[in-house]
Formats: sequence, C-alpha cells, structure tokens
Amino acid sequence: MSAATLQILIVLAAYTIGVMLLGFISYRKQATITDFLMANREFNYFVLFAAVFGANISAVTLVGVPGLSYHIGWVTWAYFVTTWAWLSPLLYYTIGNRAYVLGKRYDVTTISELLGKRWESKGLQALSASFLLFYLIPYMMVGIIGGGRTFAGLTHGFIPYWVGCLLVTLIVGAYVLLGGMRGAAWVNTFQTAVFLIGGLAIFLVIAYSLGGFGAATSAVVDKYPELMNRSKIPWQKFFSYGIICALAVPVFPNVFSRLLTGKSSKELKKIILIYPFAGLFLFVLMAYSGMWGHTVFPALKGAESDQILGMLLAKFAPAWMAGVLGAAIFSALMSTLDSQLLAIGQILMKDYILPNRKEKTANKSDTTRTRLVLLAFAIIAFVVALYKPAGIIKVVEWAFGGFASMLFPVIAALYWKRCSKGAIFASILVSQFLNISLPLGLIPAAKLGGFLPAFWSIVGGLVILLIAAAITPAPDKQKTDEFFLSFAEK
Amino acid sequence: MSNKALLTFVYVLAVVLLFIRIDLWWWGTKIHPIIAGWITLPMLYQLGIWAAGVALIFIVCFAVWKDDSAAKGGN
Repeated sequence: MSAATLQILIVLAAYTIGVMLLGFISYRKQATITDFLMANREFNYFVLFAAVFGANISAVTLVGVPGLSYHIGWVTWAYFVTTWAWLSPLLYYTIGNRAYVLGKRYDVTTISELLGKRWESKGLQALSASFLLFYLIPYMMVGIIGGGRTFAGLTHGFIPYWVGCLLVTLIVGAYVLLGGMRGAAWVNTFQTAVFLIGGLAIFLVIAYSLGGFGAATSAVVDKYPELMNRSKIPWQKFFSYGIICALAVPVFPNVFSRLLTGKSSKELKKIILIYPFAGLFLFVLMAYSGMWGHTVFPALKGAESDQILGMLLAKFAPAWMAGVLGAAIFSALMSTLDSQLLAIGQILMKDYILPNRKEKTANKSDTTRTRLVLLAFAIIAFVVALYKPAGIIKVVEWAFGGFASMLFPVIAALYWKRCSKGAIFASILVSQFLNISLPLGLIPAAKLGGFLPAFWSIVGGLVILLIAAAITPAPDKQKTDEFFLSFAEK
Repeated sequence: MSNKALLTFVYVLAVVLLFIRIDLWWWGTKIHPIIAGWITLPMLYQLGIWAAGVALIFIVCFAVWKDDSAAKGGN
C-alpha cells in the first residue's frame, strides 16, 4: 500500500468514527419505536432540510452524475435539475402539505399507509408497500455500488470493489441500527454540510488542476465536441427522464417519511425554498467535473466512468485532501442509504405488522425486530451489488420509474374524492406491470419512440386511473367526507 | 386571483416548462461558449427553465401556502 493510499484511508477512518459517534449519542437518547423511526416528529427546518436533501442526494449525484457526464457532457445537470430541482419541491407542497396533516391525525408515515387509510383497504396498503420495498432494493444497491467504486477509484484498486461495498454496508448498518431516525438525521445534517462543501472543493480542485474553467472546457470543445452539443443523448430520453425523476422523488419512501418529521408544516415550506438552489449548485459542480475528467482519463468504458471523481481526486488532490473529499462522496451515498433502511423499517412496521395486530400498537420488542430486518435488507442489497449490474444511472432510470408510477395514485388519494379503490388498484398494477415488462422486451424498444420505458409506465398508469375511476362506483360518501375533513381542520 | 386559480396557473405553467425545456433548435448542433470560456447559450436556456421553475415555487410559498390552512379543500 502506498503512503498516499494510507493517508486517504486514515482520513476516511476518522470520518467514519465521527459518524458512528453521532449515531451512538443518538442511541442513548432514544426510547420508543416512533422515536426510532420518526424521531417523534420534532425537527426544525435546518435538520429537516438536511434530512430530506440528504435522503434525496445519493450515489446518483456524486458518483452517477460525474459518471454520466463523462459520457454525455454538461447536459447531465440539465437532465436532472431543470425538472427535479423545482418540480419535486413543488410536489412536496402538493403531497407533503396534506400528508403532514394526515401524519398528525392518523400517525401516517408511509405512502402505502396513506393509500390504505384513504380507502380503508389492507390489500391496497400491502400491494403498494410490496412495490415500494421491491424498488428500494435496487435503489439501496446503487449506494453500495457507488461506495465500492469510489473506494476502488480513490485507492487505485487497493481496496477492491467488494470490500468497498462491504465497508459502506457495515458503516451505514451500524449507525442506523444504533441511532434510528434521530441518529440518521443528525448524521445527515453533518453529511449534507460535508457533501455540499466537499462538492464545491472537488469542483475547484479539478478546475484548477486543468487550468481553470475556460481551459478545461476548451479542451472538451476541441477534443470531444459531442460532450458540448448533446448529440450523445436523444431529446426523447432527456424529456422522459426529467419527468420520471421529478415525479419519483416525492414518492421515495425515505423522502416521504422525512417530509413528515418536521415540527410543523412551516418547516416544510422553508425547505422547499432552499431545495432548488442546493440542487442546482451540486449537480452543476458534479456534471462539469465528470465532463472535464474525460480529457484526463479518456478511455473509460460504460460503468467504469462511475469511478471518475475518485480517480481525479487521487490524481490531482494531495492525499489528505483526497481523503476528505472522498468522505464527501461517502456522505452523500450514506445519507441516502440510512434513510432507505429506515424507510424499510417503517413500511414493515406500519404496513405489515401493525395492521395485522389486534392492539394496533407497537411494543418494545418491535425495535429489536425492526433492527434485525433492516440488517437482512442491507445484506440483500450488498449481495446484489456484488453482481456489478449496469451503471448507476441505468439502474435508477428503472427503479425511479417504479416510484414515479405511484405518484398519481397518491395525488388521487389526497385530492380526488370521486376516485375509487378499484381505480387505484388498476393503476398500480398496470403501471408496475409496464415498468417491469417493458425493459424485458414486452414491446420492442424501437417502438417506444425513444422515450424511456418508465415514461410509458407512468402514462399507462395515469390513463388507467382516469378511465377506471370514471367507470367504477364512487367510494362511500360519508367515509370519504370524514377523511377529507382532516384537511379542513387545523 | 383566488388561491385555486393561482395554483392552477402554477401547475399549468409547470407542465409547459416540462415541454419547452426541450430546446430542439439547438440539440446536436455545435455551439461555442459565450461567457467565461465555458458557458453556452443552451446552458443559459436550461438555467432559465430552472429559474422559471423556482419562480413557481416562490409563488406557491408566498402567495398560495397560508401555512396549515392551505391543507383545506378537496373536490
């Protein structure tokens, strides 16, 4: 092992110890399952922003975005930011504002619980929870893959991919199992600060090393003009992913539950205002860093480009700084991984265990049981990550489609009195069938018009929702009015 | 303008932004940076779409969302 690699590992170890300490301190403060999963809904806007943004910003941003911009250029930031950064917060208002009220009244913490409560249907609740869990595994896997690839890039392969994956899984698993939501939120506050500041530092180090913004971009214009003119990405894909990403984020189980952890809905309003600025800031930095990296390491193929940031840091930054900036990358992916683990705990508890228990309340052993199940899910995601599937963005384009297809049923639950349970069942089943079967070739890709398969699953689900709601009987008026009364009360 | 009308306006504009974000007229054409050696017109256009989206958020937060009371309604 070289001295530089040793320095990088020492800095990363110090960062890990700090994160674990925060988790341990939170563990000592926590008592009940609600505290473990929702931190008693007591966060102010600063912690809430860090918790929600940290849950949202993942390996996709600090590993996948540089990796993608390496191949398709600057357009990568627009690919995400010109819809997601403003439309998702807008949908946080649309959904979060009302869901927050339901959270207070019925203790709702998951999307599936919301659907189940609206139509008083355990079947609907279990069906939607199953799909949410199904898509959480590849989404978690993305974080583990990002960790493995970043470790390999930073240490020139000294830490092999599988060891990097294992380390990330163990660290996140440990502080989530210890600290729960409270621990994860405090760790995320620290991590969000680290990856925002670290992201800027990474960008500046790379730009400076390449002779400045202008010189770095000129090299791209001269040698790789395709990275500037967007010829590497069809407009149909750009259009469809913008919609998929923006509609998926508010329905991410890990983001949704955190929207409900604020002290009041005023906290939600404040984070919505900060969100687009933080999003633009980070994605622009990452996209340009990855694009400029193409001129330094021109021969990376496919998913190899996910390592580009780690490789650039190892080449241009002093070893200690590469370690610190590497910690920024780990902060982003770990802050999402921990929230995903907690979201799994919430789904299991609120959608499967409590609805089928007579007393409908949690007991002390539930916290231990939940921890064991979270551990099992972390192991599953780790094992799947070892198979090194496609690049990070490819995986999320599919998984995000599954989440995005759930958005219209959720909006219908919160705003559409006439919508029936049958219509929601039909919409979920059709959209999820399309999202799973289209990438498998149910309809040849050439016939999808260049749009991503997930785009058609969202459209299909919406069309079925509208038709089925029109032809099925309206739900019971009294029960529906009672549900909607929640929004009229303060 | 009532809250409902304002919110409808915001959502309609949001859909419009989703479509006009595709600047087909520049797509695939070679464009040189015009600012500081690295910012091009298509980049500025995309930034404009983002800014318009942010404006919609400000409308919602400052003109529509009256804290807890905004949760009222249904159709």
